[in-house]
This record gives sequence, structure tokens and C-alpha cells, in this order.
Amino acid sequence: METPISCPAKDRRGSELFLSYAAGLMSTPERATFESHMVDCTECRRVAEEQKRVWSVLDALPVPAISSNFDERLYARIAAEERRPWWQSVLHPGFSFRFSTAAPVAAACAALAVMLVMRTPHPAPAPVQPAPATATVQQKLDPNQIEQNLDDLDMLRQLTAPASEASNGQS
Amino acid sequence: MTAAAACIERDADLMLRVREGDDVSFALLLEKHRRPLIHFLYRMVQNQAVSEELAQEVFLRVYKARLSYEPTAKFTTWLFRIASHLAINWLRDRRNERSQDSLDQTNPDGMQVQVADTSLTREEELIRQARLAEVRRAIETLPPKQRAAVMMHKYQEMGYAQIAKALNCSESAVKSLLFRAYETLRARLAHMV
Repeated sequence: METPISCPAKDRRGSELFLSYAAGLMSTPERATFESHMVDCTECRRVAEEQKRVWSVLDALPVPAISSNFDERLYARIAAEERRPWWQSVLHPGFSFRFSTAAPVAAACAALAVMLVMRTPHPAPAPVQPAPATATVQQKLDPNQIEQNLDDLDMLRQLTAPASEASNGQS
Repeated sequence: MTAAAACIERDADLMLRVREGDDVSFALLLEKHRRPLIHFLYRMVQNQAVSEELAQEVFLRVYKARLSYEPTAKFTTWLFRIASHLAINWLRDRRNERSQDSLDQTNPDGMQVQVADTSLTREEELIRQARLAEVRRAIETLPPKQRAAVMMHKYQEMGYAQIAKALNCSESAVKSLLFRAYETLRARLAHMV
């Protein structure tokens, strides 16, 4: 015997039912219960019918063919990006300042500077030395790339483990 | 192991190989996700050139992040998170830039691709194009985040949890976004048969 349901059209949470119904994602018992309710509920019948129409209208929306040289352009872009020195990335019009990333970095730099100043006992005259080997390494660092990677990895880290998603059954 | 779980492991495995310098694995990921990603972006921005440009940016970012990649989340969720982030930003920037421009098909930058159905008469084709334009206008009235939620829900068949992760919000927020978006679409499109 079907369990009667409270009217989904009168409950905001009921919108999920209309979406599931239109998408054909309801189980057979859920569908039977919902359809049984709609026999007597004109409002739910109307919303369900409208949602189905929206669904089919969206299905009919065409998408264009993908350019045949898409991959070629992407690989050229990747190659260009790998060749580009870091200072060009900074001067590039696409470079964008991200406060969320820059602020912690600036704070860390400031803290480091303060620590260095405090830990230096005397301003002793240092002998002039040749440039340290790290200079070469520093030149190879790309701040823009690091910043962008941090940004992208931030997005990745905020997501939970894939195991929980696998349980959702989505591909 | 379910097919979905195997698919997740496969993507993560490929990405780990990309991290080790295997470009063939990157090509496999590109082959697998290129079409759904570009179609998602096209439905978001309604512009073929821009959708491909944004898709290239997504794949470029994935490639650049390969050395630090850790499989802490489903690859497609990460991919669509970057994609929706870029598309939403593009829509917001564009809205600020061109408040007076027409949203219809006469847009000078070739917004929509007109795919003619050769089985129809000229009159039927005109009616079809008018209907498609109406659908596109209805989608364009949706705020960027609602639009992204609908596109992922309708076309990528993502669940509420996955959309929530891609849009960096709660599941209840996703349900609210979808409720409002479909309400708008029903009001504008339900008269179409």
C-alpha cells in the first residue's frame, strides 16, 4: 500500500521530487506514490508537467562541434607557458592579483623579515661575497605559476576524499 | 568495485602518471573530458570561441598543477570546479562590461552557433531558431551560479553533493539554487511544447 505524502508543491523541499520525477530518477515505488498524489492534486500535476516540459526543452538545446585544432592549440599553449620566464607571466595581461593568496605570502615574508632582523646581533660589516648558488634557483621560480597552482590546489584540497563521492554512485 | 569508483580511480591514476611526466596519460584525460567540459562551458557562456578558450585554460591549469597533484578528490569534480569558477568569473566580468548589449543571436561576436535542421522547411526552421533563442534568453536570465548548478545537474547528471563541491557551497545551498533556477525556467519556458 502506498504511503500518502505531504504536498510537494507546498513545500520548498518538495522541489527535489519534481526534479527527480522529470529526470526519471525516481524508484518505482516513489513514482507510484507521487503519481497517486498527483491524481488529486492539480497544483502538483501542473508543476510536474511544467518541469517535464522544461526538461525536454533543455534537451533540445544544441551544442556546436568542437574545433578540430583544439588539442593542437592547447599543446601549443602548454609549450609556450613552459617556455615563458616568470617575469613575463607577471607582466602578462592575464595575470591577476589574488588577495587570498598574496596576503598570507606577504604576512609570511614580513614575519621572516622581522625574525631575521631580531636574530641579527650586530650590524657587523659583512665581507663582499659572490652571489650565492640559490640565485640561480630563484630565477627559475615562477611566482605566477606557484600562485595559480596554490589556487587550483586550494580548490582540490577543499574537496573531500573520493571515497565518499564513490558512494554517491556518480560517474 | 562499482563502475563509478573504478572511473574515479582511473582518472586519479592517470593524473598521478601525468605528475610523473607521462604526457600520454594527459592526452587520455583530455580525450575523455574534452567534450563534456567544452559543452558545459558552452552552455554557460553561450559562445563557442569563449567556451573553447576557457576549456583550454582549465586543462592548462590542470597540467600546471600536475607536480603538486594529490588524489584527494574526484578528478571530474576538481575539473568542473575550475571550469565553473572560470565561467562564473567570465559571466560576471562580461555583465559588467556590456550592460546594454543585446543578448540575442545578432550579437556581433558570434555568440550562438546556429545549427540548421535540414529536414525542416524554411518556416519550420525559423520557428525552431526562434524557440532556441527563447530558451537561450531564459538561461541567460539565470544568475551565473544558478546557471552552473542547472548545467551540472541537467547535462552532467551530477548529484547535489558533487555540485556542492564543484561550486564550493553546501548541499542545501545547491538545492536552493536549483529550486530558484528551475522556478525561473518553468515560468519562462513551460508554455513551450
